Amino acid sequence: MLPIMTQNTDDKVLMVRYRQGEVAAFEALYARHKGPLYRYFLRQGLGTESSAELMQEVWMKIIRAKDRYEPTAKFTTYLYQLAHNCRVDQYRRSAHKMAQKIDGADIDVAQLPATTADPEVDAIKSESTQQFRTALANLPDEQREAFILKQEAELSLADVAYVTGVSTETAKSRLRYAFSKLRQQLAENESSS
Amino acid sequence: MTDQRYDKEFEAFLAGESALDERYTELGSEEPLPELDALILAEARNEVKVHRLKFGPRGGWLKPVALAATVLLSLSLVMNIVVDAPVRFEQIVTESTQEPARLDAEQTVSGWQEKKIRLSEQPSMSGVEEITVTARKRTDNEPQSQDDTMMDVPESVSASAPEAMAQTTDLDTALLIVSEYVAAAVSGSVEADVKVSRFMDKEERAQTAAPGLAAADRATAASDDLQSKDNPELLLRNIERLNISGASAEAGALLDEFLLRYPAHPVSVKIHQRNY
Repeated sequence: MLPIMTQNTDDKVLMVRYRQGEVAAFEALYARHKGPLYRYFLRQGLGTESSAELMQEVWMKIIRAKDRYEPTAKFTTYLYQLAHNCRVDQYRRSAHKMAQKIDGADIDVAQLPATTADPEVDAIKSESTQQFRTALANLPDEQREAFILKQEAELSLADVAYVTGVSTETAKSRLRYAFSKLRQQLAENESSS
Repeated sequence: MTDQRYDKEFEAFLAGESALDERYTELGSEEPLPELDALILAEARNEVKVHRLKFGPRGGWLKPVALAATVLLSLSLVMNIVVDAPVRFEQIVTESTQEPARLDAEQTVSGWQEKKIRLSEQPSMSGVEEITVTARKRTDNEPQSQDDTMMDVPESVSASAPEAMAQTTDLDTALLIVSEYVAAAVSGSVEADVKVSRFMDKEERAQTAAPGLAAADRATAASDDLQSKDNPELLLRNIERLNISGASAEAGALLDEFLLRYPAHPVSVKIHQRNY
């Protein structure tokens, strides 16, 4: 008999239980990772449509490969490695299309939900958010990906390096550049406003 | 800003405690559309259903069953091959009256031509006193004779061999005739009896044609007898020698001893036909 599932049940356990035929385990796993994975694609400059498409591709791969899944590494690194590969493939398929989107022009700020009840505060926040979004979009691909992996998937330096297929030093360097540029950009925005 | 301060802030960022982290959370938490959720979850459920259909509700039983079935099938196939192994015929060619050279008969079906050539190398049929072919079915645990090797009698042995026997001029034909004789004798048909009697007549003619053989063979058989106690094939050959040389009583006694000692050992059809 399988133990009762809780909110803290490990991802690997959920995946193993899904492999054994427990659909509820997959539902829990999906609910846990769908948002971060979606935002991983979305914030790399992909539109909502492309992000949804890639997200579906990643989850389909996980579903179809469930019988071969071995809980050796963290599920998150497995998930984001698949996501990284799918993104790279998609980039290769439509390189020029992607380049157009990376400039942040297709990001629809109006779709974002309001976070407060005060319209004035919302307006200020919206402007600040837009500036941050633009700063993020202006980062080089590798730096942006490393940053988003750290923020959304909460991956460690070593995991970011594993997922992106580089050394830990390289991953750290990318994150350092991303951090530096974003910080500088935001400081400039604040001083100008 | 000093490098030290920068490093400290970067460490805080790596730990998820910097101002940048807060700014990032302000970006919001976009979620995929519910339609996409429904599509992916439906696929996940469908995959489990398909898996259950393939491998049953408990899963995983199909593979062991398939494996067991494969093993059983393979075993039965191997057993079938062993049981239906072709009957092999052991050929013994005894020595000539003039030259006690033994014609080693070593061949398989594929080596039939080679055998013919080797037999043809012999001077002539007149040098051969007797050719005996013994039918036996080989089993796995039965040791292979050192002296007499096995051969497969081809299915295409000529039916006219008995007629040809009276005018046999070479060893190849003789070998075919004897093979035919053995095949017929094993089958136990009326035709076989006719062939057997013809063969017996032929043997008797051979004995009268070579009266000097008896004494020599008796001596050879006596000397071999000492060595043949533990060798059933040699013992059988001695029985044959004694019989050819006219010592039927001795041959009969030796045969009785042989049958007592080796009840399971196959005995030449010809020896059985003689009814010592």
